[in-house]
Amino acid sequence: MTLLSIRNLEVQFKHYEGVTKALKKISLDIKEGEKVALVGESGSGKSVTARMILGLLSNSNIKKNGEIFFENIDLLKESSSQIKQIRGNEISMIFQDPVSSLNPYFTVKKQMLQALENHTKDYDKNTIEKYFVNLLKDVKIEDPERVLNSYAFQLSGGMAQRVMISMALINNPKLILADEPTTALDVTVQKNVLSIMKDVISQKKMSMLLISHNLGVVREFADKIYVIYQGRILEEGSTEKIFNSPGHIYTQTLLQAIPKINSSKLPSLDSENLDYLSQPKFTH
Amino acid sequence: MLIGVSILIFIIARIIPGDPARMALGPTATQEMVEQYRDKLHLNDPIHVQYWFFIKGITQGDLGESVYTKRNVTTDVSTYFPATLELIIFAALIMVCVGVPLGILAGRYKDKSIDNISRLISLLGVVTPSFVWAVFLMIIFAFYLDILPVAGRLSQDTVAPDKITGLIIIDSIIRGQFDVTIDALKHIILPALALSLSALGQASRLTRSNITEVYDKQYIEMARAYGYNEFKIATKYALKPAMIPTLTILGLDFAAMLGNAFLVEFVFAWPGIAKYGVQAILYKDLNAITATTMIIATFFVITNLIVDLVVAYLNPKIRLSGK
Amino acid sequence: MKFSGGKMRIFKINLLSLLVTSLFSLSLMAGGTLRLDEVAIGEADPAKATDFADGIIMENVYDALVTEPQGGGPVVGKLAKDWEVSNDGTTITFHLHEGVKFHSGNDFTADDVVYSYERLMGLKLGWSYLFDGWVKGIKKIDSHKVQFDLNEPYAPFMSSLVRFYIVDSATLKANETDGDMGQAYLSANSAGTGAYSITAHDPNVETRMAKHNKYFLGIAEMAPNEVILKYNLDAPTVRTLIANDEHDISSNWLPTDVKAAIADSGDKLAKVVSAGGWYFKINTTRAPLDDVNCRKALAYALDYDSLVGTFQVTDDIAAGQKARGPIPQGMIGYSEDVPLVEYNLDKARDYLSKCKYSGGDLDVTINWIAEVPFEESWALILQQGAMTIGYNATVETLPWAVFSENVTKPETTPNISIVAVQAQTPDPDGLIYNMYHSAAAGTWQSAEWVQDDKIDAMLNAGRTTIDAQKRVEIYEDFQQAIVDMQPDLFISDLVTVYAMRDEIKAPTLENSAEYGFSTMAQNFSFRLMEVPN
Ligand SMILES: Nc1ncnc2c1ncn2[C@@H]1O[C@H](COP(=O)(O)OP(=O)(O)OP(=O)(O)O)[C@@H](O)[C@H]1O
Ligand SMILES: [Mg+2]
Repeated sequence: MTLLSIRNLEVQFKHYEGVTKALKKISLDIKEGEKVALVGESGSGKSVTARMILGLLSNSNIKKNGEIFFENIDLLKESSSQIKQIRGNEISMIFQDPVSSLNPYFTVKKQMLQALENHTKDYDKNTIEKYFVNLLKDVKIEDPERVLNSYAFQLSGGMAQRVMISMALINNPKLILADEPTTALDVTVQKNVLSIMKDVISQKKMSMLLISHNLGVVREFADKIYVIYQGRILEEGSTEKIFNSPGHIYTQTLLQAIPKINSSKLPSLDSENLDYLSQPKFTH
Repeated sequence: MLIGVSILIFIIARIIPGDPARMALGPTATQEMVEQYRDKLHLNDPIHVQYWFFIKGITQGDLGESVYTKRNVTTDVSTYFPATLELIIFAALIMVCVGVPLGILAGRYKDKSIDNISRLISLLGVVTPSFVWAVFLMIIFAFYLDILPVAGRLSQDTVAPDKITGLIIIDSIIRGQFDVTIDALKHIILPALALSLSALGQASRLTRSNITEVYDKQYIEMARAYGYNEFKIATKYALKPAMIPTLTILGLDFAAMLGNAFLVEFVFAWPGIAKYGVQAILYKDLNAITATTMIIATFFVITNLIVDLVVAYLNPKIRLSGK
Repeated sequence: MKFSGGKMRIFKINLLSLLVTSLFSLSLMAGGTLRLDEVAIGEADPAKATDFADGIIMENVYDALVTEPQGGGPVVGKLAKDWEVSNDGTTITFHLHEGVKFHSGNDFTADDVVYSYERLMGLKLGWSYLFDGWVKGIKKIDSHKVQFDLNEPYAPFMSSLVRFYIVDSATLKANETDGDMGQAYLSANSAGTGAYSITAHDPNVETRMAKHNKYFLGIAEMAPNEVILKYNLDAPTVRTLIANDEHDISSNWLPTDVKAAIADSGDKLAKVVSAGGWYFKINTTRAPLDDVNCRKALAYALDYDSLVGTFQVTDDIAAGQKARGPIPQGMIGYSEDVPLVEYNLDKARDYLSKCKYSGGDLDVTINWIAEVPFEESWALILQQGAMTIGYNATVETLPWAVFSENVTKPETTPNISIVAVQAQTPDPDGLIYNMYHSAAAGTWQSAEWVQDDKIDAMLNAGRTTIDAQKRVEIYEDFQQAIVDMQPDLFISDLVTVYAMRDEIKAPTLENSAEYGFSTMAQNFSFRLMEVPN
């Protein structure tokens, strides 16, 4: 069953210098329990896609078209109070930089509690701490009590990101959006966090949209991959197909770049010389 | 640090031109009378001896005689300081209760009409000295409308409550004399407003910029993504981080009001320490200059200390690193 | 600017007060509260008081043995019924009024006079110097008779006694702390015989006074029941308070335009000519003004009409009148025979040509006191005239504290400075001795540095001559001698102008001419005023 379905989503930003077309009619589907990756270089529109799903861009000077169906309701047409009900509840999000995404003035516990209270008021106050401790244990945090009473700046990047993951799990969402969840972390920690994330999500049978600029990172993680370039999906298909028989030259370029990656930055693809957009979208 | 200030002020006060004894005794006094008075004030002694007399006095709670009022400076200070304290507390309340919400609204609705209104108020507040506000408010509310009194802390027939704190509003509440409280409130509104307006503008702009800065932070977007409503974000999630840097400046503003109050005190005949301090300088009243300066310095130090403690309490980063 | 809003309100309140007074007049007749202001500080201790604000308190709270008479002339008795002077002029015996009560209810006796004198001379502050060196001793003859012995004949003595206030010796002795002769007590209370007693006193804020019902000279029926003398009110504050009927009499220091605005919106002004003057004081020891011709040149180059014009408050009230010389009109020694100096540039140039300095030597600086901003316009008027005849004149300002320090030496005393001097007693000696006698050199009053034997001799003679007529001649000659010497340019006699609420009746201020000229604050006798309830 399709959980999330983006249909012909167009997004334009208006500013003083003119208009930026961030997304040009993209379509994307996520089935229940499916882990989907959205891969593309910097500025290609990945974060905009994720933010559009949660309605986080609604206040800016933007023009949008298309549909985002979540369990058959169109998120783009929902009222803001209904969107609020979905945020952090049915769909939650993991941000790129965990340390600056946690509020430095409140403890982890307080923020987890608040994330819970935003959606439910009737919970058992006596067992709630145990629930948080378990969530933290799920992401392999060894001293959950200490972490609960800590502030973001007292945690390492990897630790903070694991806290973020458990926060995303609090209300048992159906879909988790993860926008480059490991880019800000040390290379050594990246793999670890990814595998922890994969494990809990598989275990809880949640769906996920993983955003990354690195094809290598998503290989062991995703069931399905979308390749995005300058606001357009250039290729979509199962992970296996994409890696074994990439259909689009842009995807091929990305794949060639993988072995050389040892930093978090994507090597320059010399995109000016190659007109990737002249080749039509490739669907496996 | 306060000892350093006291020495500095002690010396500076003595460098200001003019003979305090001559100023004290008035233009008609003879040279002989002036000399005799100088002896009484130890002015003919070397400066370190004078300082020794001064410190000796302080340890006995005696700040020396004011050549201006001819009373003990301790008496003067304990009479005039509470009046100014009451005034600046009120001005600070106005500054915080109006300036901060205005800044929050302006920060939230950047470049909308509320932001422009707040910008106008702030600009007027900052460019207009408080004594101009004082005269302006007086003309409007006292001269034309005649709805608020213009001089003093109480009406001529109202008797001040017996002193507890020296703050009439508080004392009258403690003593249950609520008619006095109301009279005192009527008297304090205009001077407190005049004093607060320039600081208020600064407070609202500062709050605005700090709020704006906080709203650009990742954790605000994160809060939205987790279903916080905007009101909660504004009043809790963003307010605390935004208020901490604001608080430090507001604390300084509050302490600075003590020094800035003098023209407002002149206009509204407010019997405060700032006005007294200025008179002391004009009369070259050494003991009073030293005492008022020390009070202002102490007040700055204490206000800063309190603000630092509050900031440390509010900001876990500082609180935890201190442990 | 017109404040029409103010007028409306006054009308409204008039109706109300009319109603209130007519209601009250049935039951009791008593005045309301009189509110006035002065510059700080108000000194309540009669052994320390010297300023004008202090003078207002003294005039009402304390009495002296003698006082200035209504209409001018020699002093008359107040607490003293009469007195006898010995032939050599050194023994004066006073007969005191009986039945006079202090605020405490104590009877006034000779003991109080002796104590008051000992207290004044013991503290050596205030007006003590008026007697220092002249009085050999004081003794009680009987309960209402007291005798002063002088070291030598001293003509200004009787006038000086106007500043000798009598305190209640029993009360002060009972309230003495650490042998302070009641100083602490008098810093917040009163111990006098005057028509008002002090109920509260803060030298920097206000003094409150209440009627002394047993006052021996009586108090007018509608005289204020209570008086609040406030210190250091700002001009806009006074303006607003008077418009709101919350203030009754302003100080003289209120800016001219504010006084005019108050008069314009239905209230009134009172003019009081005071014993003193405004002077351009010339340092006669520094070139080029050490040459009398150079000084005379300036005297004729000064545009007196423009200068007096700056005093105009309204069309009919001016806060000044052209001075003839150092002694103001109304004081002993003033003489119409001394010719008025007129603005005359030809004469000015003539004098300048006789001066031993010329061209580049004619540099002068005109100083005005920073605290008295209206002096600047006068400095500019003089500069204008001086430049016209060939001086190179600059105008500078000095704060009072610096100025009073600079005048202690002839080298640092400004070429020309602008000050007002007020007579300390009703006697001309109380004005001019401190200005011109070489024994009084080195103060702001004597910034001329006259130091002239002939002048000293005249001033000494004025002090020791007992015969009244002879004294008049001495001071008239003196007046002429000073004008010839031109150590000053005489700007104006001292004239004070007070803004008053229309409902207040204060004949001593409003018809001040009938009360003689004022040497201190005797025009502020509250008991003669009427304040509606
Ligand atoms: N709020 C906004 N206002 C204006 N332009 C925006 C806004 N957000 C994104 N854009 C623009 O939209 C385009 C897509 O941005 P987006 O953040 O989605 O890129 P991205 O793929 O997430 O890149 P990165 O890997 O750097 O995070 C960019 O050109 C960006 O400048
Ligand atoms: Mg991004």
